[in-house]
Amino acid sequence: MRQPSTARDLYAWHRSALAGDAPPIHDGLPEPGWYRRRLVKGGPFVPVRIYVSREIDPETGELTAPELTLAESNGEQVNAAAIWTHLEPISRADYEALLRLCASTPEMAATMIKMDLTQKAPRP
Amino acid sequence: MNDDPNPREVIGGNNPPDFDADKLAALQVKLTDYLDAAGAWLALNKIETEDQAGKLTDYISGVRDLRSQIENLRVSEKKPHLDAGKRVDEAFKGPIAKADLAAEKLEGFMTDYLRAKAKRDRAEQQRLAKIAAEKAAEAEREAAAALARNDLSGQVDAQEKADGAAALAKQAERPVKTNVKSATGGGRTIALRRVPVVVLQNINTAFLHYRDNPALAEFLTGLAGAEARTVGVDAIAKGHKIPGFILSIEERV
Repeated sequence: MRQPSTARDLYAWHRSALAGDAPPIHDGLPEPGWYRRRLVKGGPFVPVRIYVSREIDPETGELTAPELTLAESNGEQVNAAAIWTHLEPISRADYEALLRLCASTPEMAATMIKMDLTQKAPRP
Repeated sequence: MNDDPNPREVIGGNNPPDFDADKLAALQVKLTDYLDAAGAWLALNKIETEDQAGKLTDYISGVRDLRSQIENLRVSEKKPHLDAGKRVDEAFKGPIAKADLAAEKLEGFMTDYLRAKAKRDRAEQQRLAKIAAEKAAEAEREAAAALARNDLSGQVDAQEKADGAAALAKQAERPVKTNVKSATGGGRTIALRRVPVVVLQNINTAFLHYRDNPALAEFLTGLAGAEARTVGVDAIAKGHKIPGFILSIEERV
């Protein structure tokens, strides 16, 4: 069995994307990190986290099964490979801020409709 | 079968006209008579007798009066619509002005923020560029020193440092996009963009620059025409001049 991937390796693509290097996006090969996306044009941002799930043998420190790349979108498990090319990378701090904003902004719950900002004035 | 679309075959197509069609029709009957008569006058080719000239004077007065009646009817029939439009404008003017004011004031806030952000970004890039230059120079010195003492490990280390400096320099050269994206996703991104601003500094040079532009000639001719009408034909006959223009007097009916 092989060793688990290091955080440095796992998040290299995401780090590079945030640095503005525009790393290549390969269909079907999601990269772990923090993202946001819209489900419809003009709709609210939805936070997405892609992460790696793995089982490690506590004695040897080796993987007991292959690493799995999973995705969590708005608190739900989704197919990472299917949504991956629609994601916009954001920093972890921005991801967490977006989670808080989603929790405090009821209008953002309707993820499948275009947001109408005229309904309620955003306040500081 | 007639396949042409019927323009009245729409909702509201059978609405009455927005004006008094009977009054307009009555004036059109008179106008038709006058237009028929115009044909007869034009068939003459030219006026040869005082009698014809007198009748033509009456014709011209009549057709002008008729034109005035049609125009007055147009004005009076349009007035209720204009008044309604003014009332609508009046009702909407305030709210629109308030929305404009709010957007304008807060865009000012945003401009200040974005300018400060752009300044910070530029300073950061300059800082990175400076560090990259220092690291590159250091790597070059270390490479030279390692080469002189045949230190292979030192040469590789120096190359790594040079690569790091090059990556940093590339990052420093990357164009900075200063913008603020919507928090929720519902708004549009606001960016700081550069726009040209024009202030007239030397009007003579500007005139020279635009001398071949017909719009300038038209504008100046308009100004001169207004001045000529203000001073009147008598002053022009006495030699009033407008620099750059030929003033003359033409006789017209």
